Amino acid sequence: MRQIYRVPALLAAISFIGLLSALIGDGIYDMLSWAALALPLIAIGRFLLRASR
Amino acid sequence: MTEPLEDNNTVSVTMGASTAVPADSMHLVVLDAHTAQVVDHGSQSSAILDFILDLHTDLFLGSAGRLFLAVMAVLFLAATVSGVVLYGPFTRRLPFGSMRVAAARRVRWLDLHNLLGITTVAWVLVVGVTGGINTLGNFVAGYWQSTELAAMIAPYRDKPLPQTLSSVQAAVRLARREVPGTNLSTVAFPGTPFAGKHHYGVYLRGNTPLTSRLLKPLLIDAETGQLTAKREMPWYVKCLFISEPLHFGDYGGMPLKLLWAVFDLVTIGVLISGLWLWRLRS
Repeated sequence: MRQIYRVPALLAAISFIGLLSALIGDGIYDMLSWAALALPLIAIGRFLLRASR
Repeated sequence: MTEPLEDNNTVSVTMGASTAVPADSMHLVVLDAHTAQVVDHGSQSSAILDFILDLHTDLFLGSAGRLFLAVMAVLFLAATVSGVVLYGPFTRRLPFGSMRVAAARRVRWLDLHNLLGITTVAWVLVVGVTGGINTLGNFVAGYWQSTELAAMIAPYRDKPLPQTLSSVQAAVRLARREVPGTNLSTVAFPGTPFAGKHHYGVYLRGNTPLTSRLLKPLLIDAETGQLTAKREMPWYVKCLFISEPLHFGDYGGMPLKLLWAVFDLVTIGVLISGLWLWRLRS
């Protein structure tokens, strides 16, 4: 069971970092936020693409 | 003025004919902090946005609509948490992101629902919780006014109304000197809900995206120009202040807004696939 939640937990942790970093500062913090929040969306895109092939 | 404040470079001023007129006949004027021009709220696009914001905030039903949406937020969070709990047993023995394309229709919808839901769950929880907190904004503001602000103005309760008002500019200058490293957010004039009858309510904000959301109230005697009260906002008001950007996603430039839009679409995808799974249930 722990195995199943490992990737989701990692994505959630990265998302939280993304949600907070743009709040803490501007510039580099904003960029970190964009990159971190893009990651789960990229993951979705990757798996959808793989399924559609 | 240091660096321009992102998405927040406005100063709002509450104005009325005199300190004796009721609060609802006063006007809120929003000014651009850089140009000192009145921000135009009459344009077409912002009228549409105002309409959508009202719909989103209270369904045009005022407090009843807010409370209804607060309940909806709780149900939304319950659905999200139950989804996370069900994710485990339903994806056992499957690698992350499995899409069983050759399987039955219901299984394919299930895989889609699981993928979309579990990858966006952190964002969904944050937007859901902060949305729920935002529905209580008016109640929180009212509670703060009737407790904290009431205590700040209590010594003035029986004093006569100020006859000649001191300089607003001096009040702002005094407040900013009192709390270094801050900018002006709002000046509430005497007689308005956030100032009491005898004071300028000067609300300052910090210089980072976070502290620019955390207003700090100072009361300046509107007759003598003296500072009479200064407080930290209590934790529940700070929660409300921070909930707003975290719900609307307007604190990290256009890329963050676009990411917000995509997360929104994915969330709608989770809802639709969930509805579909319910329809296809055996």
